[in-house]
Amino acid sequence: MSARRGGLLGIQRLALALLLCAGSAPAFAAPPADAETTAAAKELRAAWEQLEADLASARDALDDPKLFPPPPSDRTLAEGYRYLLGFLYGSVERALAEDANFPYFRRALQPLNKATIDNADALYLSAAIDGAGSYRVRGIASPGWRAPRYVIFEAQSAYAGDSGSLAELRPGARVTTGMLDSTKIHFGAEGAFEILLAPERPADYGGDFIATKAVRQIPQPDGTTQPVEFAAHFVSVRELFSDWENQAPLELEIVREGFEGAPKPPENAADMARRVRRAGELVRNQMRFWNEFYARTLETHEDVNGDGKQFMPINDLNAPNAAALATGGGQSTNVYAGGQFELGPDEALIIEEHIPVEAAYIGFHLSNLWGESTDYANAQSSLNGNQAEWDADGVLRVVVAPRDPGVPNWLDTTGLPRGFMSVRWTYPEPPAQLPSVRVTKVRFNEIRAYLPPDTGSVTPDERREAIRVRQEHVQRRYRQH
Amino acid sequence: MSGDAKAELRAAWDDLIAELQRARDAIDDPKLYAPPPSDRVLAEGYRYLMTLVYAGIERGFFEDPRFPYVRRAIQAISKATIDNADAIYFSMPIDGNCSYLLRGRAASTRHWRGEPRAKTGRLAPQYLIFECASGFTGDSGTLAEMRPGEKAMSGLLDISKLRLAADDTFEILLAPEKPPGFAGNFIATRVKRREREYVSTYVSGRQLFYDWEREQPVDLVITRLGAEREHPPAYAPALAAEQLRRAGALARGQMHFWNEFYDVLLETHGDRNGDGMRFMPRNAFNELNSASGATGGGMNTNIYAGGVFELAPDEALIIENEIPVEPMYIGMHLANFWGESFDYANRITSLNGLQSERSSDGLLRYVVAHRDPGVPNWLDTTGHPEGFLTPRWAYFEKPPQERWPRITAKKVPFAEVRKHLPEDTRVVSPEERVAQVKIRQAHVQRRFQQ
Repeated sequence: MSARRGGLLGIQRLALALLLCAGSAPAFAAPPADAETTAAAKELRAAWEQLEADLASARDALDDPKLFPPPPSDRTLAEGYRYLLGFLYGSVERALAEDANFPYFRRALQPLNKATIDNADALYLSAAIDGAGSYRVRGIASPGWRAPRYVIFEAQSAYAGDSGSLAELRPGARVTTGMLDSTKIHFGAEGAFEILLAPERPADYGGDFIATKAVRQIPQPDGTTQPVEFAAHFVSVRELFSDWENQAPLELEIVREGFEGAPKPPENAADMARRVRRAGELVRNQMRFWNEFYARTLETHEDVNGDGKQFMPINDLNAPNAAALATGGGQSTNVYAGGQFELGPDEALIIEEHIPVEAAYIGFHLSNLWGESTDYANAQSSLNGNQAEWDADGVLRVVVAPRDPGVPNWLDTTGLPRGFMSVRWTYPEPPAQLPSVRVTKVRFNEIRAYLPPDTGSVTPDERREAIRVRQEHVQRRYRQH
Repeated sequence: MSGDAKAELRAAWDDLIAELQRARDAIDDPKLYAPPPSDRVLAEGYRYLMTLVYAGIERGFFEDPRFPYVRRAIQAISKATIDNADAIYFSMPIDGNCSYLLRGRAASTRHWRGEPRAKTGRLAPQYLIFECASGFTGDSGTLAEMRPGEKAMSGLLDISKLRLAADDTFEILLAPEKPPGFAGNFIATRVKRREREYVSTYVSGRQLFYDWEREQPVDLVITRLGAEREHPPAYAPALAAEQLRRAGALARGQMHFWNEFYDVLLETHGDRNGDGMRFMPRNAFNELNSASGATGGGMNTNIYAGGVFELAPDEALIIENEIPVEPMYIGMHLANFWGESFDYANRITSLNGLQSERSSDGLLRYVVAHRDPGVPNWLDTTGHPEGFLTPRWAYFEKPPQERWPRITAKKVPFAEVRKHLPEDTRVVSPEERVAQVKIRQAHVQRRFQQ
């Protein structure tokens, strides 16, 4: 047991005696440390101070207009600090535990650290790898549960946002060396599968495979293109859940070949100082990168490139487009549309999706202007193709509104006056025709006039049941084991 | 936006940073009971600090008794409190004045009913326990929180009492009082002791794993009864400020409390109460003792002992454990002076009753050493010259004291390890050791799966 309940070694009686008799015990001076230890202490302290300086610099991105924060409001600022602490949470784990020799799949995003306009239907995982090595990924459906609707593994040369600069979106700055999704994976009994990740497919290997090295033709400053070799440093996973009641995360394991059963070397001060510094650097860079990305690339607050419009239009969606590095990357099999809602208390948006080619997955999501998805556990602030009701004419209509309009497919803004909307359609193979969308702003009390006459009603009890399913699913998706 | 909100949040941030600095000071300030420094102690101290920040953020921002979830209180990347390498420690914030339903789903639980373990398929863990208490040890940052009457445990339930459905699912009601006529699994969340009422603020517990190859964590989901119509309110500056400050206070509190605990109470670094000995003796064990329920002591059928190994590169410690009555769980674990269990995934730094081998005379012998002695039950120091030794024996029904386990330790030259073991002690090959570590690595990924 631990001493979490003060039970360690039955220490209560001793504690009692000490506290009652001795009061607070004096501290004892340690013997003087040797020169090496003194140097280590100094180096680690300097690293810690650098971490604190980076945190201060990351904090500035919350309210310094030069660092592209969204327009301030009470809620925006409050959520901004939560968002910042989320990056610190994720960065501590990354700095301490990312190890290409002893990898594991960590939760890259979760309710604790939402970011990057995350998909409310997704479990995002990431493992550090060395593209020169070989890895085995083994997976199986969780016993007693259905597998997710869609799963994709992508080997990538860099982790989005780590550089802190939009320059990482230039062609060739970051590449996907290989990918494999659930439409291609060979599943055995109970949904078991195994994937080899390696620089090249071995000649005698016929199983599931992802390349961890790739050569790409990269444009050079002189106008020519040159072949450049990239090695993957991360393998990312998205598991997309459409049936929140019956699907649960896969069990996944990753091991580096040659390191199975190998002992992990112990910590030392020089390595730890690097890790402490890296934690701070990741927080600062992630904060700065995404602020700038939303402001300049997505043109969230104004037209930046002078084409007379914002990439993320207000109360509208941009034209559906395939995932591209220039617009932040994302899931390589996705078509995305994005925009912003900006609604008064008596206003709503009605969004029509026309989807000529059936998609493997469809999702509609809201987030705040920091890119944190809205509370999708306790509010119906996201809907996927399985959760949504389709109209008789084959059109998918959703209603974005600040309160319950009593119709199917309500998306709850959770009181945010403004936020991102994102639509995702997954196509393992590029579709012959892209989906299209139409957005109409209407008065809240006129919503029904814009929906088909046979649109049903949703009672408060049905809404409550839907929330119950959501709350339980999110606990299961981010289970304690 | 109000200028007040901006200033208030900034002030809360500054308080958080100040708390992190105070937490940091406990790494190398002797006045804050820092362990004697070395390159590795310092490196691990910063790791420990960072993981307390990590846990402090989760607890500060996401512990909400109105909308609880089961969180990992301790995990492979966030260790503390001399944690048990066989355990998942989980924790949920609750308001003991409200009622909650905890639902679970386990793999085969035949062994929980005293039957032989299922021969095939996945198994439930060896042991599972839930405990409700009015506080979280260490949060205050001072040993004063251990004074009698500060905290109380209002209820507990373990697999010896837990009733399961035929499909190995279960439900537990947690409420201030048992409803009249309620016959299901129940844990009280409120208790009166000496005229004082204690309202529990946490349900915590442990799952202990024996067979690292086949045992599967229990799925747990908690809901507050009657909360389905409620939503968390929109996030606001006052709450954000409070949570920022709490995240920092928790990191600092935990850091300071446990440093003082290990130095002042466990006397890890020297005799502190002047009785001429340390509570955690060197290369030896203190007297066996059992957790007392009076102030909320863990698994109340547990028996503990403790000590510290201190070994030169060519030395080893041979531990002999005589066990007259077979416990339901046996564990032997090593930890550093920050209370972080050693790397139990990639090294053999812990052994439970199933992973260890008995000698032909029935004794359980462990060998703590810096390198592989090629004998069964090697515990790898991972190069640490010193660290905690914590054996654990758990019983559903504790035997009379004269039939408790007995444990002794003896320091020997590494080259002479075999001389101190029975002649028929077998040889463990390097290949076998690699196979053992392979099982451990896979298990830990599964135990803390994504």
